[in-house]
Amino acid sequence: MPVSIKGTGGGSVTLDAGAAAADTTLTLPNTTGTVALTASPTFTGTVTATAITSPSATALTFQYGGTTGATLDTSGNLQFNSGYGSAATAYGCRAWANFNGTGTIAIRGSGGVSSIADQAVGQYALNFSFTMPDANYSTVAVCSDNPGVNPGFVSVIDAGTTTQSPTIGASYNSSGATWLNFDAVYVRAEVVR
Amino acid sequence: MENLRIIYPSDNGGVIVLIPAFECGLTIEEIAAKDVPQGKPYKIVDVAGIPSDRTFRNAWEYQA
Repeated sequence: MPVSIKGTGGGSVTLDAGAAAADTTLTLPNTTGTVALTASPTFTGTVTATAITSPSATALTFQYGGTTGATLDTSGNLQFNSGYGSAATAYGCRAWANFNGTGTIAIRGSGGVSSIADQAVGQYALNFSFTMPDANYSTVAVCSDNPGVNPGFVSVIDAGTTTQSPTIGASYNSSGATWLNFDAVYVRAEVVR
Repeated sequence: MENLRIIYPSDNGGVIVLIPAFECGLTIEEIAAKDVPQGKPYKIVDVAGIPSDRTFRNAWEYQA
């Protein structure tokens, strides 16, 4: 049975807290119902929700003081400001690893990676724990020997695939003209898309 | 899993050593099934069986 609370002029409806320390619950329409908010009411306190849903074909926007700080557009792109000057699409680091490329190779930390392939002296690749939509992503890596010994140069040796990064080659300049592969103590690699 | 490695032969007669990333949540067997190229033989070995001296790394060979 519909119930409406009407008044003239301004007014409010307040749910008094119960006598015991417990949640005060306002049960809104069932899962297929709609809570219609007129104008732009202000919520105070903390809103807890398991999902925030925007109608189809409508971006979800987060604003502060009327300025858009972040948007989730209808293509799934997350756009945020974070000092950029306006909300722009941010691209994520899909996989990363920090490992010791000497000895039996040891991973210090990683994300989005199922294994590291030790292919040869100074040559490594990241196997992704997921499948990229294509191989047109960007790979960035840096390496060095023990600090102050051999500043390394990193090259990308092949194209990579949707499941494995390009081979990352660590090398150093041994004599001013010759570049030699070497096993780097510090290898840090990221894959961005 | 941190002490295990997966080895398989490379296309040029050498050997590839896979270091599993335990953070991914997969088992060593699942990683082998996923990351070893299809049709390649492979072995799961203890890291103690992998030489830590890599002087001749490029001459390592896979032995079935």
